[in-house]
Amino acid sequence: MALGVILCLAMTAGGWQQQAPPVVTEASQQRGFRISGTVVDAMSGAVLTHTLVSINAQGVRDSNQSVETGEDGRFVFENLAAGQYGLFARRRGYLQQFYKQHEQFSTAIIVGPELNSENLRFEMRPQASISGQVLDEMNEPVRNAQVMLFRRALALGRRQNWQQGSAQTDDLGRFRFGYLDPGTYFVAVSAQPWYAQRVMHNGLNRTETIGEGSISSSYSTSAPQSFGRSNVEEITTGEPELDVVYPITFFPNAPDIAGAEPITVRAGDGETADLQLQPVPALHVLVRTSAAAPASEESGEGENVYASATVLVAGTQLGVPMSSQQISPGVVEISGLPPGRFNLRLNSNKNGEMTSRMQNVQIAGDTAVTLSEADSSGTVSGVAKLESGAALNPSPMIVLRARASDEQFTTQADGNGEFNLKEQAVPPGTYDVLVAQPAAVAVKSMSATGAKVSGRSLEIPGGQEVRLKLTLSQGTGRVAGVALKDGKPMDGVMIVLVPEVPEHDLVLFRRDQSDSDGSFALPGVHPGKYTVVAIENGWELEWLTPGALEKYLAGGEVVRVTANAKIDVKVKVQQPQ
Amino acid sequence: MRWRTLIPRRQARSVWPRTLSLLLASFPFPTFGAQFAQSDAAYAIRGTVVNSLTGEPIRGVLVQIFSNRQRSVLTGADGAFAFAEVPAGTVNLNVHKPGYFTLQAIQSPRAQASFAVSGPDQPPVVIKLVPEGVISGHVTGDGGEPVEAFPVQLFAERVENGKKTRADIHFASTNDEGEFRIAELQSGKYFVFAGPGSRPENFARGLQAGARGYAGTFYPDVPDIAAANRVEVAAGQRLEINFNLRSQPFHRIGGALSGYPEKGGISLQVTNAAGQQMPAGFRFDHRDGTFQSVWLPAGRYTLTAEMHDPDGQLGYFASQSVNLSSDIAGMHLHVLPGLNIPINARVERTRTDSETQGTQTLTFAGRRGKIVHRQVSMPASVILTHQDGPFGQRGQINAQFGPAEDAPLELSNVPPGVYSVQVIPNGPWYVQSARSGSLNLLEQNLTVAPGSAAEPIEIVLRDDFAQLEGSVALGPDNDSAMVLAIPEIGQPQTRNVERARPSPSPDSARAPAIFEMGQLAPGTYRVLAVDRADDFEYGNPEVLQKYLGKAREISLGPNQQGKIELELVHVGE
Repeated sequence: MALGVILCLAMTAGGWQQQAPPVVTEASQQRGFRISGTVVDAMSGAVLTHTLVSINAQGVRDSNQSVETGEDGRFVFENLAAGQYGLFARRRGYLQQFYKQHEQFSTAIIVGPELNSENLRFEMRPQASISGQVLDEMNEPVRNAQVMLFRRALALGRRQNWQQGSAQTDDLGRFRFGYLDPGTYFVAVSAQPWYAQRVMHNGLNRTETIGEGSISSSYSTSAPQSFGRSNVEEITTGEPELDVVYPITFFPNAPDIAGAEPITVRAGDGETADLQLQPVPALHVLVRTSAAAPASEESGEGENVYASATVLVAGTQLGVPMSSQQISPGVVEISGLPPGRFNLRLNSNKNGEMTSRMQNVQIAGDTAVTLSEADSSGTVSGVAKLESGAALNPSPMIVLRARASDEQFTTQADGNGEFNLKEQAVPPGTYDVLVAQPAAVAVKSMSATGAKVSGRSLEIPGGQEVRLKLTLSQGTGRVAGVALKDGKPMDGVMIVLVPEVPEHDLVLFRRDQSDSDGSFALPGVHPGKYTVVAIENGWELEWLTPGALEKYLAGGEVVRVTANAKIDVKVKVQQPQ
Repeated sequence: MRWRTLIPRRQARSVWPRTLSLLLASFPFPTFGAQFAQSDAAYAIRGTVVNSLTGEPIRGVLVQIFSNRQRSVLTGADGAFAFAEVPAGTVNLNVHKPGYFTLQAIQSPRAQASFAVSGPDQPPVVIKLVPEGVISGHVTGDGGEPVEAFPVQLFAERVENGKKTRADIHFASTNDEGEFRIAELQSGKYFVFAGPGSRPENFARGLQAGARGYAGTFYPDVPDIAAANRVEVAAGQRLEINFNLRSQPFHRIGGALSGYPEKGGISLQVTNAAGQQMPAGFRFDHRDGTFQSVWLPAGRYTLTAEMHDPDGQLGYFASQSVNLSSDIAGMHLHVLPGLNIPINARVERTRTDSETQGTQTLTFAGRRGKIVHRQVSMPASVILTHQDGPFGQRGQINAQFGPAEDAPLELSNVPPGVYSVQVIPNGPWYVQSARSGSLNLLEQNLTVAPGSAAEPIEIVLRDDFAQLEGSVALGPDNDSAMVLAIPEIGQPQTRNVERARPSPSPDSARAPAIFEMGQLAPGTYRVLAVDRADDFEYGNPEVLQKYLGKAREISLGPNQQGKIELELVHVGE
C-alpha cells in the first residue's frame, strides 16, 4: 500500500489521504472479522504496553478506530467488515509508524473470508535524537541560530541527502532534534554574529559607469573609493572589523555537506553534535542589471530593485541572510555574504512591472556582478502539446528535475502549451522532464534543440538556448496483482514497475509494497511497456543505480499499459542478489 | 531583546527578514549634537560594562556611539571599551549583549539612555547590564510520562493607556522529553500556563468516543487564572517550574452554520472562559455547512464563526456560548453581516485661521482593490475597541471610507459586541460631543447588536480649545514623570515629561520638567503629576481615586491658556 504524505498522516493518525480507490467488494457486506496482534520493540523484541494502535478502512470516511495495548502488548479490533485497513501505531519514544512501513509504503491488512489478519507482529522502531550546542568564537552560546538537519538515506531508489528538519538554538545555544529514524544525518548551522555591523555605502558617483571588477579598496577612510571602474562616495556605518558573518557550517567544521562528518544514530540512541562558529569578513557584491544602462538612468527612476541570495544544499535552495540596498538605479549592493557559490536573484519592480533575474555565481571576495535577463547558464523554453497537436486544458505544469542535485525547476505552460524557464537559472546537467499537473498527463516523447534528449531525460550542455518540444499523452492505466513466493502470497515485498529504458525514463518508475494477502496496486501508470518485479527485503536496494535492477528483470512480468487499461499480474518474489 | 525590534533605518529586503532586521538594526540617533560651543577639540571616551548584580566586568559587549557617524566596539575581557577622538560634547551610548538588559530597557523605554561626555578630564563611564531571568522545566502527564509538543506561555500584567492588560509575552513548547525553556525574561511576576496542544495526543489518547487529553493548566497545576500563583523571577535568576498533569475526558462540538456566503473563507474558533483561543482544527463542510470542533476538555466556551465575502467585501459573524460536559451535536449558528456605522463629524469654527485644516488626500483601496485618491474632509479619526466579547481578538476597528467613491466616513463590517469609542481630532479641535442616538459615547460604551440597523455616530468638534502649560518639580530621584489632566467627563489626557538633558551647567540637575497640553475641551480639570509613567493604572477608578486628593484643580474657559505648577506624586506599589 502506498501512503499519502507521511508527515500529514503521522500528525492526524489515520486521517490520511488515500491513493488507492476504495476497496468495497461483496465481501465487505460481511462483518465479524478481526485484526489482532502484538506490538513489540523492533530492537529488543520486548512487548510494548500502552501503545495506541489505530486502523482505518481505506476509502471509508471516519472509519478510524483506536485501542491501547494491554500489559501483554496485544491489540484486537473486532467485528470488522471485510476490506483493506491501514494499521498504525503510536507510542512515546517510538516513531509513529504504519505496519511494516518502508519509506512511504506499508503493508495494509486485508480482511475477509479465508484471509489471515490475526496474530500480527507489529515491530516498532524506537526514535533517536541528535542534540548539541552552538558556541561562537568567544565560546559563548549562539542564540536563535538556525540549525538544519539533513538526512542521507535511500529514497526513490538511490542514496540522497535531503533536509529533514530545522531547529533554533535556545539561550544556551542548544538544539535538539527528536523523533528521528535511525540512520545517517548531517547537521549544519546558519547564524549571524549578533554584534555584526554592516559597512554600507550611501551612493555611487553617478557620472561614471560601473563595470565588472573587484572592490579591492577598504572602506575605512572617507575618501571616494574605486568600485570597479566607478567611484563610490563612501559614507559608511559600522566598523570593518565588525562587518563579519558566519558561513554556513556543517558539523564538525565544514563549509559543505561533502566535507561534513556523517552522524549515525541507532534506534533509541541520542547523539551529540556540538559546533563552534568562526566569523569571516563579510563580502560585498555590487549587482547591476545589464538593462539598466547608465545612459538611461532617467528611466531607472521609480524602479525598485532588491536582491536575494540562496545557496543550494541537498537539493534545496536555502536563503542566505544578507542585506540588499539599492544604491543607484538598477544597481544593488549586497552586503553580508560569506564566500561561496550562490544563486543571486535580482527582483525589480518598475511601475508595478516585476522582473526577476538570476545567476549562479562563485564569490570569493568583494566583487561586482552584472545580471542579464538571459542567464548564461541556459534559457529553457518549449512547447507541450498532445499527440493530436492540441494544447492541454488546463495547461500542464512542466518540471525539470536535476539528477545531480534533485533541484526542481517548475513552470506552468500557457494556453498554447508554451512554457519557459527564463527567470530560473537552469545550470548545465542532466534533467528528467515530467508533467507535475495534471496527474494523468505524461511526456510521451520529446525533442530539443540546444540539448541532447534520451527518452524523457535531457542533457543541457550550457551556453546556449534550449528549446523543447514535448508530446504529451493523456490517460493512465492501472497495474495490480499479487506477489507469490513458492506459489503463496507474500506480504511486505517491494514491487517495482520498471520502464522499458530505465536510465532515460526515471519519471515512469512506480513502486508499491504488497499487502497482507500479497496484493499490490500501481495506479496512474503512463502508457508504455514495463516489467513488474517483486523483491523480498528489497528496501535497501539502490534500484535507481544503472544495472541494479537488470538481474531481476528476467524474473519479472512484462506488461503493456495503455490509457484506462486495468492489468492484473502474478509476480514471483525474488531474493535480493 | 528590545534593541532587535528597532526599525531598520534603511529599507531593505532579504529572504530572512528576522535576521536582516538584526543586521540592519541601527539605533536612533540623538537629536542633539555636541552641546559645547563649536570646537575642533576631540577627546577619548572610556568606560567599562559590568554585571549589575555581581559587579563583574562583561566581555564582548557591543558599545555604540554616534558622533558624525556611528561607531561600534566590543568590550575586552576586562569589560573595558574606548573610543578615540570623539568631538567634545555629550554622546549617547547604546549597549547590547545577548542575555542582558540595559537599565533603560528595564526601567522604562523612555528612561534616559546611557551617555558619556567627551571632554577634558572626564572620568571613565561605568555601564551596568542586568542579567536576564530564565524559566525552564518539564511537563509530565499520566504515569509520569513526559508530555511532548505541549505549548507553554508566560503572561505578565502590563499597564497600557492606564489599564491593566494581560499580555501573552513568551511562548515555548515542550520537546520530545517534555522539557521547555524560556529565556530573556525581565525581572517580574509571571503566570505560567501550559497547553492545550494542537497535536492529537495532547487532546486525546484515543480518537473514538471516550477520548482523553490534557487541558490547559496554570501553574501550580490549577485550571484557571484565579487560582494560579504568579511566579516571581529576579534578575539573573534561573527558575524551574514543573507541571504534573492528569488527563481528563475530552469532547467535541458539532453542528451546522447557515446564512454564510457562497464564496470566501471561514474562520471558526473556540474561546474558553478566560478568553484564550483553543487550538484551531475545525472541520467545516462548505456544501452543507456542517462543522465539528477539535477535542476539548469540559468547560464553558464561546464558539464564534467569522466569514468574509470577497465580492461584497462584507463580513459575517455569529457566536454562541456552550457549556461542554459531553459531546454536543446539532448546534446551530446563523451568521449575520457586520454593521456599517456612518459617521457624521462637524467642526464648529470660531477662529478664521483653521479653515483648511482637516482636509487631506487619502490613498486607499476602493472596491475590488482599485486604488483611489480622494481629497477628503476627515475632521476626526474614530476607533472602536472591543470590550470583551467573542470577537475581542480582532482588536480595534478604524473608521474608513465606504467602498463607493462618494461614500461617507464609516466604520464598516463591525461585528456584534460592546465597544469603547475613541475620537481623535485631526485638526486643532477638541471633541465637544460624540453621540449615537441618546448614548454619550464619551462616557458610555457602544453596543452593536447583530441584524439591527446602526445609528450614525454624531461628532461635534470645536476649535475654541483651552491650553495648559506647567512644570513638575521632579526631585533628585526622578528624571521623568507623567502628567494627567482629568476632565469631569471622559478620559484623562496624559503627557510624559522628562528633565532637560544634563549639561555642564550644574543648575540643570535641579531644573523642573516642563509640559504643554493643547486642544483641551474647556472645563474643570484635576491635574496630577505621577512618578510612574509606565505602570500607573489611571484607567482604574479605584486606583485613580487614591491620588485625586493630591491633584490640583484648574478651570479652563474657551480659548484660555492655563498655567500650573505641580509637585511629583509617588504612586509606586
